[in-house]
Amino acid sequence: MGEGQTIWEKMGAIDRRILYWALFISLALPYIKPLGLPVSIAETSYALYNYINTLGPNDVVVMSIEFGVSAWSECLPGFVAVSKHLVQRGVKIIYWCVGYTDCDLTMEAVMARIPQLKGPGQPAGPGDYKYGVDWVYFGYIAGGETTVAQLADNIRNVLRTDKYGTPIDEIPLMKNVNSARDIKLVVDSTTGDYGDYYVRQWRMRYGTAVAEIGIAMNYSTFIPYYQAGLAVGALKGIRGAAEYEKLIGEFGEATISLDALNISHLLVIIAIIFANISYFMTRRKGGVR
Amino acid sequence: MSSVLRRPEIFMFIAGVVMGLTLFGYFFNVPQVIDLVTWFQTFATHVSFFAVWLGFLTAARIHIYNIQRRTPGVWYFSIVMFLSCLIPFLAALPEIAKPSIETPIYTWPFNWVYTPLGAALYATTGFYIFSAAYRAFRARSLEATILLVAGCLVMLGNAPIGEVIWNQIPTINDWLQMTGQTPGMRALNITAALGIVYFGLRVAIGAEKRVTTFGAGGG
Repeated sequence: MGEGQTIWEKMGAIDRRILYWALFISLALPYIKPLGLPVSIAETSYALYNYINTLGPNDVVVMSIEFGVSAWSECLPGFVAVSKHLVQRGVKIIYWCVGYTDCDLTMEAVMARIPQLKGPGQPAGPGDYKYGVDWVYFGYIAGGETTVAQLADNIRNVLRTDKYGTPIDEIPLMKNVNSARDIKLVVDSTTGDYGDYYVRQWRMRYGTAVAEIGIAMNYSTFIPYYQAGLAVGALKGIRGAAEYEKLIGEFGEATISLDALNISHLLVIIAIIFANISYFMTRRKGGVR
Repeated sequence: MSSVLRRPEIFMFIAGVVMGLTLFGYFFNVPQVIDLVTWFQTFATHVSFFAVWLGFLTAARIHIYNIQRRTPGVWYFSIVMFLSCLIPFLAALPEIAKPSIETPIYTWPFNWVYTPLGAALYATTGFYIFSAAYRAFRARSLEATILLVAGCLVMLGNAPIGEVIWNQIPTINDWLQMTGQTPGMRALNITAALGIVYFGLRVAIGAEKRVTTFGAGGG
């Protein structure tokens, strides 16, 4: 910073390292003293919750993993919360991924957070989800929207075995599941536009219900589908996940992360206010524009 | 023979027929056409499986070339890239007969290298966004002011602290996201969809030279 600068000019040209440290320290504060602020429930979260409440043990839901490990912080808690709700309702679950090759890691993380999901060969007790009977995992399927369309038409044209090499016809859950007509709901968790693929290829052609658990940024792009009746619900990033945890009564990672969301959002707004005070004061004195 | 197959007209004909039938099959319920389109889709899906392999081989080729030629400023990164591809591939080979998502030799680099790096990358963007917001979000004009105010309200609405500050923040946020932005987003989606159809038609009639010349091997 040059000499002779006013306090407003200095404020406007503040070193970015100071901003980084301010954010870093602020984010650390909730770990010392959690805020634990109450969360209200958005309409779209309620809608998804209510829709899943209409499903039962004879229904099959596809959970589409369309986010990589880098987006776990925002997408995984919501994905886990919805999976837990499906387990509570006894709904059969198919997991697959058409967008990210690292989805095996996400599946591992989901299994670690939902102990009822028993892997192949693991003994399943009462209340557990037996692999192949109550849930199945197909891993990564290449091909983008073409594959999504093809899965809607005929799952067996694309998939011959599950992730573990078991032929699809030997999986009890898949016995009567062959196309989008046999699926009640697709929940797509995405950092991109995979939700659009399912709306176009599953909802429009077969009437399958679609919902999205996206990063917060995706929420705005998905809302037109919800308002047009093409989607049954949506969760808005980590906030939506926290709302869903509250709805199913199982508080988890999203609720814990909300403190960081509170602090970071408030800090950004305070910073913007200070930046604009600096801007107007500098402009009034005929400084930089 | 190969020169005939590389002619743009051949590519245009194939693209046009496939595109026309696919569109027809989407909108009209003609079983014969739908069966044919399903076959096209299966074919495309299988091609995309091979594309994953092709991507691996192409990346390996590029990095082997860089290592062999000692391309300045690049070759040592190419060694890391090449080994990052090769080692998990070789480690997973014995598992091909019975795939598992819990094989330690395969999951270790993912769990202890890839996952932390991915999380760190995503977290780091928060710091950049914070710094960028401080420098860029200035009320320089009426439009910028509207954007700034709406952005702040949405941010406050997305965090529970907004409700604590003022209990009407969620209402305003809901209106902005459910009503205020929807017309713009609808317009964007519809125009983008029309743009895709227009692009497709241009490809089908051969007006999109970049695609047709690429199809003919012109690059």
